[in-house]
Amino acid sequence: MRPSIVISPGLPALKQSNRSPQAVPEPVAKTTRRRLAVVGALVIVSFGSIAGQLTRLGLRADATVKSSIAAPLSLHFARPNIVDRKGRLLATDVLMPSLFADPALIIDLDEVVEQLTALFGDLNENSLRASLQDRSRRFAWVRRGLTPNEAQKVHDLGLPGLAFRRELRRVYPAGAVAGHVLGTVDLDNKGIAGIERYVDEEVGVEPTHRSSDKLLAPVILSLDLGVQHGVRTQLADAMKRYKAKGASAVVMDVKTGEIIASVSLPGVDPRQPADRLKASLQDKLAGGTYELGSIFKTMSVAMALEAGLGTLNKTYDVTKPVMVGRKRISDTHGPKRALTMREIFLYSSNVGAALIGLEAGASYQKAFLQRLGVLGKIRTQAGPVAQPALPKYWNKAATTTISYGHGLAVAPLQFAAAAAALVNGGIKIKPTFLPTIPQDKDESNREGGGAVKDRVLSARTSLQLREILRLNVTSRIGTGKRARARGYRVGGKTGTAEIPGKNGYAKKAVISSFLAAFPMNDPKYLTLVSLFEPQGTRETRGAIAAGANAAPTTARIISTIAPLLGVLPRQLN
Amino acid sequence: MLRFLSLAAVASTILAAFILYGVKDDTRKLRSHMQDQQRLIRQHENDIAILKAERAHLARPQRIDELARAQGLGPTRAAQYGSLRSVPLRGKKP
Repeated sequence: MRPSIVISPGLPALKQSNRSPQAVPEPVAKTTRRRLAVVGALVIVSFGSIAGQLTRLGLRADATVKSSIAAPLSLHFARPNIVDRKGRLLATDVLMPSLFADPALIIDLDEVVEQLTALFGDLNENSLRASLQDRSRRFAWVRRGLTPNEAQKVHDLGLPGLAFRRELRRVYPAGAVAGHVLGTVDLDNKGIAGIERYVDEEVGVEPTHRSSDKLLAPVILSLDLGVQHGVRTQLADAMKRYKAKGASAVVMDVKTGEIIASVSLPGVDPRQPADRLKASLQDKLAGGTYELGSIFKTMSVAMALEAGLGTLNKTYDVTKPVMVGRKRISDTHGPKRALTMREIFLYSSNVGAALIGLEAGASYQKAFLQRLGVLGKIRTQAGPVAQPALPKYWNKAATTTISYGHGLAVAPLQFAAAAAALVNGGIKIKPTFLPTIPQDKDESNREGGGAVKDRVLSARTSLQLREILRLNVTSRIGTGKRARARGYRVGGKTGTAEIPGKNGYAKKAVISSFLAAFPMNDPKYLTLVSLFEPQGTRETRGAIAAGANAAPTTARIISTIAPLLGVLPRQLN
Repeated sequence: MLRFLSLAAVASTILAAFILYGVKDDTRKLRSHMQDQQRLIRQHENDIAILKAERAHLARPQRIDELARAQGLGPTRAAQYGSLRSVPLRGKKP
């Protein structure tokens, strides 16, 4: 009989027992031993397995796994990309480093301020010092939206207390080419003007950390970057050539109202939000209203034809000046004889236009302009268009002056949109910066078709207007003959408006405009070019009238953009 | 019999714990891997956005215009267009 072996303090009862070994019966001892052996084995197996598992896991540990501490990113508004009608990028979001300081960690404030102002020339030393002086603050922006190059330079300074935080910033890869239309964003990537504002209000932005490329569908504009650039280049050239203070031009699809190009010079840079506050850089197309002068005669002739006053061959006696109250309206140019309505247009006779206006009457004129959309309040996706400045009383005097484009100030964009109906077959269009969805063939706004409610002019009148607009460029006597663009059927009307000042109209300060459409056999595009305060030059032989500057500018613009727009030249069209 | 069942239960518990721990560890690694990948994706997305912006900047019309003019090129003139009819047909072989 072997005594049972005490192997574990877990069996204290056995150890402290005074009973003789014999007291434990043999089968019990055997059972105990077996149990102990099993327990022992289990313990060994389980610890062994844990050891084995750890070894296994340790051995196949993935070497690429790193500890991951995410770089601090502030929450931002991801904005959709803005692209032109051909998908070219106009605005996008990228993550860029922004520099901030922890004033508590700055050791030598003077050095930090000195080094940073040396690096960023436009950083205000005093305000920087003030913001970094307060050691109780743990965070102060130094500069937001650094280029990677700048960030590297700051990093290389090795100054303690400075750190970066990556933020989404808006970038405009095409530069200032469409500044007025695109608008701008503030420091927190929120749209505050133009299309950027429209994006915030209508399309929606996403609060997020990541770039927007995959997140949001791009906003496609009706603008064509190539055309926009072409127009801008030609306008800049015209400003220099004619020593003008400013210039604007719009290119519009006459059937859909899509704005293909919209340029106002001097322009604004979307990267410089402060530009928008300067009155001199205002968008001349939509942001200001101007008396546009004789291009309004197109409206007057349309009105006469539409009112059934007569045909283009109806004659008016323009030899005598028209007297309205104390106001005397006379022509400085043109033959001294009775003129047909067609000739009134070609010679741009103020007397003739006044007679037409008087014949139609004030109320008809007002209603007609209202119907075309010259007088109403309009807006585009880029914001509201400046409201037209109407005469206080629409009396006889107003009627005569409005007939030739004075006494009623309207934004060029609004006028262009209304004028589109004159050449597109008589259908009113709405100017838009978004591409329109191609309509069903049966319902398309083509000549003769179109919804009745949109028709503001008979197709016949529109056809006659095309004829005289084209004639004004091709005819020897037309004021727009210098708008001839070799190879393209251009038609248009000049307008030279004196700018009203404190002491009546200034003779030498004018806005000269040219309203044009092409190709004239089936107009697709309309352009309205305006030069603000052009000077007489040798090229214009001292003239400041639109026929000498705005007309040739239009010709150059159309020659440049027609191939880009897919308009075939005359020999193929 | 009962004892055998108990033993089997204990063994299977240990086995289950063994597997569970393995799975848990795998999950942790996968999650960390996933986070890494996600961060990488974000980083790449941003890189792509920067590259696209750079490409658009390089392809901006102002620059292309200047480069093209330096090569003696210019906008297409109307006279440069021709119709197919004006192209002479290939002459018959002599």
